[in-house]
Amino acid sequence: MKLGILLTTGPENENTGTVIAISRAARDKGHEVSIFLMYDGVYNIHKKEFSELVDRGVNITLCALNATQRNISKTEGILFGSQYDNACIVNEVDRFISFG
Amino acid sequence: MIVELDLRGEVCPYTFVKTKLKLEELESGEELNVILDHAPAVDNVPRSLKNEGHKILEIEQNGDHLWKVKILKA
Repeated sequence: MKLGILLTTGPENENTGTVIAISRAARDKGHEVSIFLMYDGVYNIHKKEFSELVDRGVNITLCALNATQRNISKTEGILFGSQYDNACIVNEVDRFISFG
Repeated sequence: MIVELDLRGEVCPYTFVKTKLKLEELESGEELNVILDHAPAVDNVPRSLKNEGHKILEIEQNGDHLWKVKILKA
């Protein structure tokens, strides 16, 4: 199954822990996981447990505009994309969960 | 015929949306030159258009914050 997740809140919010746990569980069961970060959600790439999801095969894309607005520099393994990428994720996945 | 679209001052997602709308007015094989001054869009617009089947002929930088993306409509 393909799972899509949208996260718009920062790492201080409990949503981050939930997204990390769901992503780990889904990957452990062999599901594909794609996360899109926007607004303060882009700050999550600075949280070690979150960015480590890339090593577990989670696809992480974020809104480059929101990252630029927050002075977040490019990070290896994370696509600095746009709402087009968000739309592609929504279109391609079987289930989509939004945390905001 | 080469059409030019000046998107200076525009940011994502309008850079992609307005480019896509302009492309819809053109015939297949026509060229569209898009002028951008928003750095993230210079990466994202070409990548998204390639994903839609269009061809990126060239990305020309004209100064610190000015780019021209040359697109061939599919």
